[in-house]
Amino acid sequence: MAQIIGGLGTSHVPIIGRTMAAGKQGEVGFAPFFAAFDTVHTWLEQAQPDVAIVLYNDHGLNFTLANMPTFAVGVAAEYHNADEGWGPPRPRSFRGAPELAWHLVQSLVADEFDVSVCREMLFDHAGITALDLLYPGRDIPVATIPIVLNAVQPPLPTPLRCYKLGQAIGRAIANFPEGTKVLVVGSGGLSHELGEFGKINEPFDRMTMEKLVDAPSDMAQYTNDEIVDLAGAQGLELMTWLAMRGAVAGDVEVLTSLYHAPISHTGGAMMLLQPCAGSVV
Amino acid sequence: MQHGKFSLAQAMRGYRLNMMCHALNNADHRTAFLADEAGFCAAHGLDRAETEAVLARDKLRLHELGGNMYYLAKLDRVKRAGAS
Repeated sequence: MAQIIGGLGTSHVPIIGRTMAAGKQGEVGFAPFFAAFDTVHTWLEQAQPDVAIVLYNDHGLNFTLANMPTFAVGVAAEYHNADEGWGPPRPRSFRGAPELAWHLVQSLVADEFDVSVCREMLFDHAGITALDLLYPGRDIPVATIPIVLNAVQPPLPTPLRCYKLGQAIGRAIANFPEGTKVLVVGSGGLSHELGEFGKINEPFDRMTMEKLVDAPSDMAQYTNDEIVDLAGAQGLELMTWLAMRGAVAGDVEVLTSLYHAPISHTGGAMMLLQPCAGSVV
Repeated sequence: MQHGKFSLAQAMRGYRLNMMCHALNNADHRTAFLADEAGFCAAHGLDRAETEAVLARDKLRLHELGGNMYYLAKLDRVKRAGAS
């Protein structure tokens, strides 16, 4: 049976990707954020995941307001990056995991999560940045299943719904009959608001990171509007972390965790979780 | 209105404006926009208030008119991103 071997939460603000592209991780003010990934890289060497499920929010690349799914799952064999309005990027391709992805969408819909099924999906920097942090400076060796949560245009899924989606993802993985090792990634947040309305709430972000480990269902009780008030409009991206934590069910061990504010205009953060052996799910 | 919270008026008002911003993902569209901003807005069905706010890059007004931050970010970057 397939197995979730870990969960990663990370910020994805564009300056992270630009810094990596320039090879200047050691020179920027938020260098500790990159240094914290050393532990992740060592862990990846040993854990060797086959698939990374990446939960993130699209930034007006693949989805427009013409069609805005609440949850969308990619089932493609291959994904590509594209111009998000910042100038054409170096073309890249990312290997999908269609068999596991189709199993996932079948299982989710049977479990009453009526996700959009995407045969094609442009891969947003939110997902790509997370994968590049895992495997900096190289082609991404794991297959990817992108899952997009609408954190862009209200009405949004509630934090509780995102947490439950993660739990359903966890159940689906546990029922996949191959021995696939899966890493679940939540990419977003933490507190911030785009434009000239900057907003970082470090105490709330730190509380979020603690609760995600020990009491994730507490975090799931917030309403969307409460998160907007506490963590800014784009603080809603923390729902990707909550979905990740839903998938990595039961007790977890924190292998590494770092909070650094600000990274650009955001409360920057990362965290690697591993399920405790024998923990009751 | 507050960013990130649902507002029926905002949702109904901002559609064309946000779709115009989304079009700026495309380098050819950025060329067309930079050559004739008002004409590009007209081609995307923006009304006078929306067009004036775009030309002035009046962020508060753009938000009042239903602009979504994820889409307005593309308007913010249109010059730096470059044309085709």
